[in-house]
Amino acid sequence: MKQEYRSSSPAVWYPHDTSEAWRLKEAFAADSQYIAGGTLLRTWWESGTAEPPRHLISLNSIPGLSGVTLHEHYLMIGSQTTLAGIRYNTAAARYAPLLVEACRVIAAPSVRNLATIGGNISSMVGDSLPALLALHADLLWFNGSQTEAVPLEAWLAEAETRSGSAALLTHIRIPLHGIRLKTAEEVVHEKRLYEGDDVLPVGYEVKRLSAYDKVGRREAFTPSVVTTAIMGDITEEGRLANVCVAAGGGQTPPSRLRAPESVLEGRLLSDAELLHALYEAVYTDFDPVGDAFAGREYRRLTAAGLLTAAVWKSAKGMAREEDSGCC
Amino acid sequence: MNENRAAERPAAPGTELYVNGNRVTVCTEPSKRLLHVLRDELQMTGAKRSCEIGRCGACMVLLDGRPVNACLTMLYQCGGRTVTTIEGIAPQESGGLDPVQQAFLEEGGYQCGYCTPGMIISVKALLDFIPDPTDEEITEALSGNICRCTGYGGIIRSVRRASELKKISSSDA
Repeated sequence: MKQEYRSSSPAVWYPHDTSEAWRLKEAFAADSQYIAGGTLLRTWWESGTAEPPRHLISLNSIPGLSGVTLHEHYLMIGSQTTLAGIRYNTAAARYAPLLVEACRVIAAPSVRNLATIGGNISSMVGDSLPALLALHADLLWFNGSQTEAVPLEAWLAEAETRSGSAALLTHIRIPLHGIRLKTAEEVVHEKRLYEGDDVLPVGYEVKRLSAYDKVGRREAFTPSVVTTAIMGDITEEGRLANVCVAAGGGQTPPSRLRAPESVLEGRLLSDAELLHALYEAVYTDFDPVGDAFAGREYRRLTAAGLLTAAVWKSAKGMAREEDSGCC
Repeated sequence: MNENRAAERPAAPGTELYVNGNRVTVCTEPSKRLLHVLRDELQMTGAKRSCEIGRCGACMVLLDGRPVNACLTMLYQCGGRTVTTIEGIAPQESGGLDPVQQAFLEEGGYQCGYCTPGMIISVKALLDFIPDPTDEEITEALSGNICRCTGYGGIIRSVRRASELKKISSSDA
């Protein structure tokens, strides 16, 4: 009986909306799985990491779950948007460059044409997660009756306990901190500003420290060993503010690193002591999962090096700007 | 949700798709991989079976003009969509070769040839999107295609030559 179950091909269901999808998941429970791109699931099935479920609930036919839209206060990304769709989206490039860079280095173009941001998030170890943490993203979940916004950080902390839930990730919401829309006074609250390739002129109120880095065991199309993301504002006098640091990679659950954030917050980017303090804080705070190829210690050193280099590059860039401004 | 609507339905027994311009209906499991549908059901063996986990690119096909790994793509995901395989790359009317195929021949962009169909598909997708790619763009576009003969030098030359051939053919047109 068990063998018969294993050899049978899953039935595929095509709900028309999120309510239908949720109801199917509730009905089939552990015998079912939501699916869109399916690239990660397919590799899990092949490797034996997971058994194919009896029922696949396809999210492809549900309208409104794909695409990137710009609103007055946030960027909204449908959970079924492909990684390629984000990688080449002009609004995402402008307002969430960390995420675009993450999408650029996940897998290869052919995989990114199928894989969705929702699937990358749901894996709980996807390489988009450090970028989304640094961007203070919220996840919008449909729970059968309403849509609930959950900060990504909170969801990651509780994700294990929610694993059997029928809740459906519909959108990722990224706040536009520190970004000024030039026509803001003319814009009705939360009016959609962006659709297709037309983006209204915008500007940043503040300078930014912003970097995403991924290290793997080869240059391209590689599973990550370490991924890091850092974002913060640089004030007029060159101090760091609202700094967010995140790291993950491999099987390490991505998380924010509070100690490095405390080290950076309020400090002058040009402070000569800053880099050493940051390196030590990342090394101490980051607690990665090691494996036979890359141990815990190696990953800690790598994360410390990547984040310190990111801040050093930003400081160097700012110094160059100041020099060119004087002359 | 409208409780009366017959919306929750399993896949129909046949999946209709367009392969190299021909409408086909495939009656098999909807979660069957496109690679096996092409090779076993449609007898189109140009897409090669290799890693089967989306890493090597030997099974690359175009789905609505974009490259995807046929080993990762399930049949139901292709319903109503267009699939282009290496068998459908060349212009059917003239019987000639696509500029990308011609360039691979001229520049020796292959050794054993097993990766070549996938390489050509990826290059075609790249040049359709970016006619004159930079080295960085070529590297990214081919990052999902592995040549175990390490014939990358010839492959990169082929991409450059294909770009030239496409420009020539479009200026002649």
